[in-house]
Amino acid sequence: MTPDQILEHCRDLSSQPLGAVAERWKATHPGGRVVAAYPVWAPAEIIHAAGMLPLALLGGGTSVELTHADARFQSFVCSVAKSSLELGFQGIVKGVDGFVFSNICDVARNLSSIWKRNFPDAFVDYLHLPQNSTSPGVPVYAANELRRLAAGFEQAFGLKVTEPALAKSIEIYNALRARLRALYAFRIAEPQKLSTTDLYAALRAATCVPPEEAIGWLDALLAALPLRDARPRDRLRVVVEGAFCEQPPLGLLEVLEEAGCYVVEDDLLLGWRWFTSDVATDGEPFERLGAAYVNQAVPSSTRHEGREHRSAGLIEKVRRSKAQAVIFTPAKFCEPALFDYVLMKQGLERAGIPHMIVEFEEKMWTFERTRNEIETFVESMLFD
Amino acid sequence: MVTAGIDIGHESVTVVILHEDGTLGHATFVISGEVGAAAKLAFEQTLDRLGLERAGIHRIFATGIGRENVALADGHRTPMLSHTRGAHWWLPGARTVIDVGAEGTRVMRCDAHGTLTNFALNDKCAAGSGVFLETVAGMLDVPLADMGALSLRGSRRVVLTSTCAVFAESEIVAEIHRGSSRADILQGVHESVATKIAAMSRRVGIEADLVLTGGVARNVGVAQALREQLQMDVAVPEHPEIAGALGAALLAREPAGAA
Repeated sequence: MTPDQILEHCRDLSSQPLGAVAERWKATHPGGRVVAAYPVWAPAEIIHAAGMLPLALLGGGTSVELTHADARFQSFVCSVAKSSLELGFQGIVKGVDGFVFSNICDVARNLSSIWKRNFPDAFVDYLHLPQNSTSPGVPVYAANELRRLAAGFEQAFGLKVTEPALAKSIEIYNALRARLRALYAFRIAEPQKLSTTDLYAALRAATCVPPEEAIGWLDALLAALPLRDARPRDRLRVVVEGAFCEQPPLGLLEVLEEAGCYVVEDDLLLGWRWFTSDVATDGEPFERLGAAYVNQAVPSSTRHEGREHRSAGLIEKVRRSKAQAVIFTPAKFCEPALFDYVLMKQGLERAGIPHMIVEFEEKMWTFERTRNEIETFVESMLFD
Repeated sequence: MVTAGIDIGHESVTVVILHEDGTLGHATFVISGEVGAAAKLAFEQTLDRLGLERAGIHRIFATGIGRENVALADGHRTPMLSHTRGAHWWLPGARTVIDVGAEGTRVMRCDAHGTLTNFALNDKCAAGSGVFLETVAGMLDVPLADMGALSLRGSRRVVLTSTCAVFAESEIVAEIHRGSSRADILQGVHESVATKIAAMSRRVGIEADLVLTGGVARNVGVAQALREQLQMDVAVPEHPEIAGALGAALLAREPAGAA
């Protein structure tokens, strides 16, 4: 298959409603269960090890009108929380049996309770991820929290997560993440051959199918991409930072590229690429996964890291990807992103790295102002 | 080297021809019809007026909202870049440029070379723009060109509290019914516009010298209200509406300006 054919397949996969994705999988896995995880990170390995299909609960994007969820939230709540709940009201997640939320922010923290209250028949779990990264007991705590989640699956669905099954799932997700890291590395090297909209299509589709299936077409894509014919252009290499939870509309990613940027690093769908290296393959698997969350996690606004300044990871990302600037893209009302913006902005300024900020909402549909801002930023760096 | 800048605004096209020795020729035309055709017509008429030939123009850059639709241009630059460069050429001490056009306000910071260093724009809210002032002029039956001078005679009795143009219009209607004078209402309107512009400017950071460009800069009431809001001098060029086209013509002079 050509890259275009694979990417078309990816777009087709990720354009389907979550419930339809779940039902399609269940049609070939009679009695199977599907669990969707709200951003940013949830242990897909544990869902997979229970024999279930892990999916991403990423809101309604540009296609869902809010007819119920607005009445359940204050006006200053981000779009992804509202539209995710709306998916439930409109029956768009019918077929998904369970939902996992975590303590990434106050909104997400309360979303699990709101979900439970409105959809009492669904399995809902609230994962208390550790915020302390330095105490010796933290990996143990994290492992116990993952065991508790697994016990919840067993109680709700009668599906047990055995240690051998989890060890196998860790290996499979290690393999999936390795492919995703390879795609990101390829884009750094040859951004003209892999646009961010294309990369995002592959990434998003990987959240809609079992990892074994995604690995198949990711391998094909990685093999075919170098053969693509594309000439490098005089563009600004940028890191996009801030869209780790609510996902930006595709139009925004397109505008970034049309306005003269090569996006060479980003934090889109960060939870599905959460670990900087493979989770260890030796030892008790819950403990390995818990320890990886504490010690191998990518820098993120949703996870407190007391061992280095918040901007350090971003600056490293800029250097590693040979980027010339950073474009912050926080979702409107995203407290973790907007709080960290101040720290990261200060860090970038100390390091002499230019930056700008563009806020977005998932239902944003007009991009002219954004295009103007980005073009001005690009031109001021390339020509002024 | 003779270069040209064409600025496509929401309502008009401005053409600037910049000669090697720095002298200018310029003209502004109201847009009617398709943007590319309007730009071509405006450019040709400006050349005619100045007695110049197209072959004598080394490079043409377009700017403004319709810049990409100007087929005769050799390249284009964003309005923020162009206005900054134009304002800085007029006043080399400029470090902050505020451009208030028909449908948007832009605030730019620049360095001693006129290079853009920071900016903010607000092109979705009518309350701080020329279109809002045009609407008010119509409501009060005051010629647009006379609004500024008339507002300076106001007695500061009218304060508009709304941050939205639609609600501000309701407040203006209420003031008309209350019997407030047109001078007082206009003064309130200009102070309201200046408040919004000042708030946006503070986000970017204001450094003297400050230059006000765009068509609204011709309104002495807005310029005065802005001086009072910011408590600093606000310089207004002789032809503030040509700053964008002038900047584009200046950028067209530069070697890096091929695209």
